[in-house]
Amino acid sequence: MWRAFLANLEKSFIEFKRYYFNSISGIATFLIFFYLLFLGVKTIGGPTVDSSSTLDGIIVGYFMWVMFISSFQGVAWGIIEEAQRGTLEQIFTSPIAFEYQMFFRMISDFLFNVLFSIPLMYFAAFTTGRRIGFDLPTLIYLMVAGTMSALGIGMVLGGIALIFKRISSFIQIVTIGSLSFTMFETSSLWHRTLPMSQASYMMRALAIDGTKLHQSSLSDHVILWLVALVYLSIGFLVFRLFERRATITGSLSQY
Amino acid sequence: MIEVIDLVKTYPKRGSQEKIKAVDRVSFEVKSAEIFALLGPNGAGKTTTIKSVCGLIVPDSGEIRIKGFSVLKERSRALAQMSAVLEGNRNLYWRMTVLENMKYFSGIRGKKLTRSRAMEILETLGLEEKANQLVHSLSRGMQQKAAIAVCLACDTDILLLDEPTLGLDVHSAVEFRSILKSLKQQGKTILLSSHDMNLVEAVADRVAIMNKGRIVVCEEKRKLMDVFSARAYRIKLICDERAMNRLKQLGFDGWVEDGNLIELQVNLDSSQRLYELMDAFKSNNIEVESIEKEMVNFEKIFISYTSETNVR
Repeated sequence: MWRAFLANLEKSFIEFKRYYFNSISGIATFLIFFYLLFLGVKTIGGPTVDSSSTLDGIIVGYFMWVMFISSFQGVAWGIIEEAQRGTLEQIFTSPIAFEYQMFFRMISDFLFNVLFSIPLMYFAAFTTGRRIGFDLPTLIYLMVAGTMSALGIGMVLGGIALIFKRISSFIQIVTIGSLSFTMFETSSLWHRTLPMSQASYMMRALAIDGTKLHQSSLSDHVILWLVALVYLSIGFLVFRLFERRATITGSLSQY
Repeated sequence: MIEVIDLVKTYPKRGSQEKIKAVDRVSFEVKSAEIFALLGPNGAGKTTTIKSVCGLIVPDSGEIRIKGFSVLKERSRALAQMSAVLEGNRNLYWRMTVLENMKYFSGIRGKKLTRSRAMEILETLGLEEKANQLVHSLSRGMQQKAAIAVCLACDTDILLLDEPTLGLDVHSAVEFRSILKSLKQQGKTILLSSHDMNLVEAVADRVAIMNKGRIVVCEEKRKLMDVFSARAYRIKLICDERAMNRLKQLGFDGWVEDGNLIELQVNLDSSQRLYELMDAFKSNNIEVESIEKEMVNFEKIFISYTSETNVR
């Protein structure tokens, strides 16, 4: 298992280097969208925008949304790409189950996202004159727990991609839909049970109110991990069902 | 090493309730250190069979065992015993080097591939100078060899090759045959599916000819060749049209006209048939110029079996 994880991590790194134009344009897009969003809210809202909460909330919300979409899109696009290349079946012949391979790849992608997006978030905050009020361990703690639920959604989409292959429109719908539970603030319980919402909620509280992680209530942490585990489990379960279906219909490599 | 027992796989026919039988009660066994070929026309069920062996397709019924492990019930242990090249050069990441591909695919199987072992494999395939080249920059033949290198990097005794010479030029195909022979000498067990007669004729120990989802014949290649070469004759005759028509009436077909000579290509599956032919020559005053036992190639055996309706 460990070797399989390392192999996937190394492959992510190799592809990041080899497709450097795509990697750099991804980073540029991340920043451009952020500045457009930030300036848009500032311009439209004018003096009515409460600079100490709304603008900081946008930084955190945008950052969490990008983390969310890059996590769940990674596995879905990954499967589509593998099917197009013809390597999907080759990975399936490994004695280590395919869902684990995808999971390892998502963790690898997550590590790369963390590596690049954290400095970018601080950079974005700095260039817009804001100050992010929490430390790195807190940030990583919330990102890990939050991203787990995103990975679960990614596994569901990946499973759908195994059967239907072309699901880009559906991915776009989920991408836009995910804005609602990562960028907009709400404290209602049902909203916080949506994937990544609780992590966004806690991160926003930490960033805006200056709350320390240990000051968060136990129920906040319980909801955070429960949501993460439930979505991840659902993701694995649904993926296995679709995977089984694809092997019965023989549609693994039919792109 | 590989046992396939009563394998059945059906697919629903698009737009109807009907089902198409892709594989119908297929059984065979691949022994240790042999090259076993599944030969058949397009749509014969070769790929479905080989993908079922790899665990990529779940059959409707039947059993597949690799070194005693059931692919359906002990998938992980069964798959650990073999590696496969399923779509030739499409199996590789084209924007990664040969070495990177080898490391990745052995890694995802939980195996560590040292550089020295990788270079050793590449040397046996004559690819050592291409180790650090991106796969997309290699020729089609080299890519195919790289796919084999990846397969060998997984360090298993059993190799599954689906249409391994598809798209290769003549030189690459010939080279590929010698690679397979050397792998067999190293003790590898190889199950290959192909419709490349030359490949099968050159490398296979045993052959299963498939047609319409069923195995038509499963036999040692040498025996198949012997059976057919024992029957096939090329007889050159000097005769007129009337005599020729008389022979046609007796059911001897396969006439080729060559100037004054007439050639009869005939399969004589019993001594009785030979006597009948000789009697016909004598009674019609047909002069026999020469009789040659025909050289049999696998193409003829294949066409003979796949055009017959009887299946096992």
